[in-house]
Amino acid sequence: METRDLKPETQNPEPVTPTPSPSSDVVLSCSALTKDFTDIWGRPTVRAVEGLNLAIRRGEIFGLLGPNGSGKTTTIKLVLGLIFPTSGFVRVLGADPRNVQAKQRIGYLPEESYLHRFLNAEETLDFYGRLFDLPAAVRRQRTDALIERVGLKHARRRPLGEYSKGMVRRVGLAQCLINDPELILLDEPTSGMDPIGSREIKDLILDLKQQGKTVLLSSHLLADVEDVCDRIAMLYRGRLQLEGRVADLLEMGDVTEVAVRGLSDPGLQAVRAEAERQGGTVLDAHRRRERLEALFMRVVERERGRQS
Amino acid sequence: MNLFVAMSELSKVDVDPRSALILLWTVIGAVLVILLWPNGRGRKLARQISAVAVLAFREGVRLKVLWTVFLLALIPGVLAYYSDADGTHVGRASLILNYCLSAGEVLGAVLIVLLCALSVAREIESRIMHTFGTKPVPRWAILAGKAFGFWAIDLLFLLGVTVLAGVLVRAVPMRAETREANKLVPSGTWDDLHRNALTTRQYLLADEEIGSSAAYKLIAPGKSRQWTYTLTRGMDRSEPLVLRFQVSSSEPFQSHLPGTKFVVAFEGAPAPILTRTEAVPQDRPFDFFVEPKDVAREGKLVVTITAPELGRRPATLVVAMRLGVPVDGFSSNLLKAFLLMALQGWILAFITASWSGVLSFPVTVALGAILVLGGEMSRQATALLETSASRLQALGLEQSGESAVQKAVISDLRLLLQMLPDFRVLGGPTAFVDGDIVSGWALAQAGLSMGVARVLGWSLLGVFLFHRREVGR
Repeated sequence: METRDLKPETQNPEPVTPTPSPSSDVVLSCSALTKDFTDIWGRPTVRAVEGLNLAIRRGEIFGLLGPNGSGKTTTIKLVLGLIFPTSGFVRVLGADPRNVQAKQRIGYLPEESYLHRFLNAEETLDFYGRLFDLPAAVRRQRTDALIERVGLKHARRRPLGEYSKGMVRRVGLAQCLINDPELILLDEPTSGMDPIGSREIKDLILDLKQQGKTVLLSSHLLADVEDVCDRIAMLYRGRLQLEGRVADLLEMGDVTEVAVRGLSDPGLQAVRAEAERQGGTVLDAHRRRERLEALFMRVVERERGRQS
Repeated sequence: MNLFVAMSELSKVDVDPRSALILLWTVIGAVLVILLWPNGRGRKLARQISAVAVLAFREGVRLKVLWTVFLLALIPGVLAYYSDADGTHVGRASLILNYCLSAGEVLGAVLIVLLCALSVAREIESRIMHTFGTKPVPRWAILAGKAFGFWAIDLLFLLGVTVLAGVLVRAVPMRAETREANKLVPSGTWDDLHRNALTTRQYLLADEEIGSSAAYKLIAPGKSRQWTYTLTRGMDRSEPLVLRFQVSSSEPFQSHLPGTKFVVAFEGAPAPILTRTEAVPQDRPFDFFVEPKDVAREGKLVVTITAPELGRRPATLVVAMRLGVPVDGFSSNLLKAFLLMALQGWILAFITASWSGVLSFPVTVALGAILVLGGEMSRQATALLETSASRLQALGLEQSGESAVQKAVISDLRLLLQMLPDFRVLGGPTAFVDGDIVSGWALAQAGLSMGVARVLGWSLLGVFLFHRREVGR
């Protein structure tokens, strides 16, 4: 079986460095979590989350999936203490979501980056760094590193009001990491990003995992979740539909994929025949198509190389 | 005569100095709590609050409403400067100060209410609070930071208005108090204006009048009477002392009483400080100034007035006199006016900021307006109630059942009304223009009762509700 990774395919793909398996330390847990939104008279109008039970362990990337309106963002807001549960409870890093000390170790990227438009990227990161009470030298160093990391070095002194949506999103991602958090919550992180930006964010998420961070990723873009997450939970109309490891959930135990390079058409026919002779049913045999993302990346990288 | 006496009564200061001590210890206590809070959390909180305050300051400075209000504040003062008022230097200066400082007071209140009402409400509506609210900053600290930041803007605005008032008054054209054929000619100096109108004084009774019910003395024609004032080391002599007289006579139809002699000297001194024979105006106050160098020493200052003996109809004089000791010069008065306006801004900043996290922008603005107007109305209503009560007492009705019920109602109403912050405490920033003294003790008392007690009383509920509010909806 081919080893999957995110880097563009090369002639001799390098093996992926094995990452430490997630520990059993639970950093975020929800128990029978329910949230009803009410009208001005206190009457419930919509049940956004119902009886949600979740446990996210330290060091894993956890995906929260669901269509629009399934309760993903509501769940994240409950976890962060931006809204309060109707019933059930949440524990984040062993504390109540509204505990100020726990927030010191959390980073959050909202689904839209709501930032002060009159500040530039540097000032934004400096401001949020001050809220975390980071010393000035540390703030400066991290601001420089994060601006570089999110690719905004050329625009660091421009007000956010002059940024494109994707650029603002990058600043939002940077502010999410300014305090080097243990737990990072990303709500639709690739929203508004071009394919390069999306790839960079996915690489960043994997880097975070390498550093031992815990990431809760909410998205309705399934490819993003599939590429980076260890475990996922799927919500629909506020209810948990399924939960488990990506590999376990997606594996089709009775279907085997074989990738062969340099096989001629007669050879392909022979492989088909052999498979059927062995008792299998050939579902599909075709020339593999490259993913559009890989093609896009290859073209852009080539053009960059030419221009530089 | 009663008007003169009443005017001098206004200058008396009756304040409990303990308020200043309580205020001082409140501030010291707050600073100690910040510095000594375990694990350095107090200092961390202070840094976080200052970060929010700096952001609020930058946000406020960019708002067009600030510059609009600032331009509006310039207009009254400039218009007053180019007005002749009543034609006197004092009148012109008073007009400029009243207009400038009143504009600063009113527009400063408008500015701070708008800034604070916009702040948190707008951040919640624009969802900036979704990012902000997940940071390790207590919600009350967010509100405090906003209030401090916008108050700093208000202070800059008020400082600008106060400086403008000072500059315009300093540049008051020293044109004549009377016109010659519609031509204004220069007369008077800045020192005259400063001495006459811009320095507030405390008017003291003569030593022999203290504890006495008599506020004036009779002087028969050709006879003399003396007033003695004890000058102590603590008295301010940086500005001239004023001897303020009001004279009436047994000849009420004479506008002036010529030949009235005044002698001012220290007891036991060989030579008098001042000897003048004047035609004194009748039934209106007039002043003699005694230069600081002449009264630099301690001792008893004796003022002797001799009624004129000669004349077609020599009159018996009725004289009241006070010694005016300078309390505040122009700079000091402007500073106190600025502090009063700053106190108003402080109160409005913290109350409206604390409620802006709970109420919408227009409702918060309405709350600010209610506080300002309510404070003004509460003072007038309280004064009306007290007038009513004293009138009942004068009519001897205080023992009747009807007045007992009224008393209870008045007492409860007064309590309710006093809960509102009084933004015209101590007469407001233009009090010194009318000659009223604003003492440091009174300022401290206002700072404690308004700036601490009422701010806490009106803000705490808003802070608590904001703490309980879902900002992520």
